[in-house]
Amino acid sequence: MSISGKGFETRKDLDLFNSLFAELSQIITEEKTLLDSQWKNPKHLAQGELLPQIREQKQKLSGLKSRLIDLSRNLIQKAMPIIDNLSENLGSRVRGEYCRGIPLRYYATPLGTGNSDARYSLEGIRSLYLAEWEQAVMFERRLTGLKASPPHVHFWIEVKLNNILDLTSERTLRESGIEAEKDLLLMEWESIQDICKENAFTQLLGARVYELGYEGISFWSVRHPETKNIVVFPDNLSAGSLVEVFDPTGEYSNNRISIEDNMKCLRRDK
Amino acid sequence: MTNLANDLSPLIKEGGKYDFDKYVALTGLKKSELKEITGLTELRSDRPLSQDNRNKLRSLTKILTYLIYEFQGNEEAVSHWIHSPRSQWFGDSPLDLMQRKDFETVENYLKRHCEPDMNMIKG
Repeated sequence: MSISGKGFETRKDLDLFNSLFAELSQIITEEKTLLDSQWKNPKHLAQGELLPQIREQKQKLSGLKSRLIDLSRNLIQKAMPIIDNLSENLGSRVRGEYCRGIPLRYYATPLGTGNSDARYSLEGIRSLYLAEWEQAVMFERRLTGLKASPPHVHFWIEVKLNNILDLTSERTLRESGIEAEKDLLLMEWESIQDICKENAFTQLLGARVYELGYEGISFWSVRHPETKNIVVFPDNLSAGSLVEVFDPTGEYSNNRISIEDNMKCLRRDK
Repeated sequence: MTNLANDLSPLIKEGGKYDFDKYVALTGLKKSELKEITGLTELRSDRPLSQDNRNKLRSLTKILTYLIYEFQGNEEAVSHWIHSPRSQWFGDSPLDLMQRKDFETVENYLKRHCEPDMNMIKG
């Protein structure tokens, strides 16, 4: 089913959003340079010599911010029919090895899942994010921008899923109606959530995909384009699907997620 | 600033007189910034902390503690992060958000990225 061309295409707004966002990023880079120079030069810091320039940059940012917030809200509203009309018959199979990075202190439970929000998940939905390549895992950790970070460990995970929504497939994009709006998948979900105080398009899409019973979503990494990421919804795994730590030594043989393991957990919880 | 939580927690709990300069030293913020974020002023330093002041200081402490862990005790890096505008926030810096009393957004951001839920890939 293709639903593009039915009046909720967002190309114009998206183009404007991208151009304003590029302008904003440029101003941020300039402001960061000013801040850096202020930090590195105690005289500047003490005398506040750069304050007028920083203030001017902040004013420019503030104007752009309001426009970006309005545009983001419009875009999500216009794209909602795509989510509402999503079909449950677009599932694909995925087989392969994916990488998972976790802080060293959690090395004993590499498949531990969180309930917090992320690009394709809303708070309360168990989700497990994996990447096709190790480099992508490192790019995703972008909080600090520093070379150093607390110790992390990478695991390779064997994935066999029978029913995922593959957003890296042109056919799925076309049939789901997402193709015309696929740039929405690349938007900064944290801007929408943290600043607009709304759920991002990808989060709403993820929640719908979860609701329709898909086991996960395959999508292109925003931080490391050309790399596929997968979000797995462990609670939706069906018979024959499996997510397991790759470990020939057998030390991690209990670290897997399947419908049988989910059932065991349910029985234990009761 | 490294032992911030240990140093600051008793002060927040006591509810007795507060030492504005000590907070400034512990948090590494400028006086004007601390005033805007917490509502504390040097003039009222003979009064006990109000519940509102305590809550704000508690949130600030939590945020700084996350950052100190993430930046491995590098105070300059912590301060830089707090002051730097972020494109994900359409140009707002963490300081901007805290000055608007939106501690929750900064806290949630750090929780998401500083690992407690173990979802290191956020897309």
